[in-house]
Amino acid sequence: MANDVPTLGGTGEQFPERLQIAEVRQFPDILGDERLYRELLDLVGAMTENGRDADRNYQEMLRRHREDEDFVVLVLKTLDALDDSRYVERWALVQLAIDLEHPIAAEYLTDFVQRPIAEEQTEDTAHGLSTVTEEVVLRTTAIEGLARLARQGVDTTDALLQTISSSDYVAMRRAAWFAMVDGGSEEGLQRARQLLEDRGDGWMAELRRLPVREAEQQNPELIYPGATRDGDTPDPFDA
Amino acid sequence: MAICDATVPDKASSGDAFYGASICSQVYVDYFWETYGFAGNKSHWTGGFGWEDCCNTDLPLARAFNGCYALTYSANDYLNDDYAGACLNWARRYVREHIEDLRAECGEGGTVADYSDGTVRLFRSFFYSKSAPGRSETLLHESRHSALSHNAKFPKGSTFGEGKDGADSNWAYNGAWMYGALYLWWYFAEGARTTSALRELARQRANVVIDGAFAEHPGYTV
Repeated sequence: MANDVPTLGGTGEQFPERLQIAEVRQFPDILGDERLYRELLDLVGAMTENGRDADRNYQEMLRRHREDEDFVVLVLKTLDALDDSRYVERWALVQLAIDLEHPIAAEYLTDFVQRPIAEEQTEDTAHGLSTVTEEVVLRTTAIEGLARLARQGVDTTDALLQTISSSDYVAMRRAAWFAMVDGGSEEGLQRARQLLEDRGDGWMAELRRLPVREAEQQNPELIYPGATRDGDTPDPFDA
Repeated sequence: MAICDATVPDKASSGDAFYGASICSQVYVDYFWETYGFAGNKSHWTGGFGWEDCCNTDLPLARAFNGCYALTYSANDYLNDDYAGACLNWARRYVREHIEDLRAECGEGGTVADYSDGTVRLFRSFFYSKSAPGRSETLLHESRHSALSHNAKFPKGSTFGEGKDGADSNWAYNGAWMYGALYLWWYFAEGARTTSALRELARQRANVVIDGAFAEHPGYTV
């Protein structure tokens, strides 16, 4: 065990910073419907669970809510009530809106994908929270939702083509292209390919969507020895 | 003494509600403390950072432990951490072998984490803007800086800012971005004890890294 016991003679100056919790947030209760609100909290909890049965629980809860249009409306209204900076919570609700697979989410997701992205708020984006990256992750997540809806027969072509033609970000154009590949019509796919070529993005159509095992893995020769700390690993809580 | 404020996002969304309830156990506290570089750094985890209340997932230490839990157990056969195998398996080994000291600080300007000479500093954005699996990816990214720094500028169309320093030249460089993306890719493909939603988040984030953090696009998409 490390010797992390308190030391005599401490003045507090060796602890130069103190953190205090200003606020612990929960989702706002938009509709004032206690049952729906409780179900929202439970379902978001299930989507981030850990453990052997985590995904089975999540899928089962999704199934119970897929036909509940009021619940889907609650998810979308709650999403719109959140400040832009609440990325963790916004991701959860965007993903939930997608996983519920309800057609009324299509219009919302289409609009969401096309919303403008504010300028970067962080200086060091390599080691800081890039606000543009957070916004783009939300939008590529929504684009995946449009692809799923397209496979169910919902026409999402215009929003995807608009993204390919106008987004500043490679990640969004790439996501829209692959959404077209996954769910677009042959005519839409041809238009998408033309838009990519017009922008000089023809290379995106050549990207390889691979299983991870077929991607180039780490080079073990570039891994240099480090400290050895390999005490017995405890079992996971659900073992 | 500098005092900083933190806002705790909804703990169900980040995964902290569930992790916190399930892993508040001395056996995990002991293991994470000794294994991932906390040991010897108590003074950096007191002062409101959680040492005195290490199961309180409002506070940084428990949230760091939650990231360590995801890092440790997200592979089905997590005890096999051979460097010749899947990144999902050896990421935990890489972090434990390459972070000597793991410390918490307030930080400014949205900074998540940094690495210097064996020490990784974690800032508020690490604890309060990342999901639990996202924290494990950050630990791997920072630990890779023990070997390699970023060596290129972000490319045109990058979400990280075209022309700014901080990219890796390419996938074969085996830098911090490659390790992070590869981890997320494996997590998406084979992550265990998790949900389809968190695996999908890993996929989206891996793709945004692949599209924007390499001067030369790797040619892959997840």
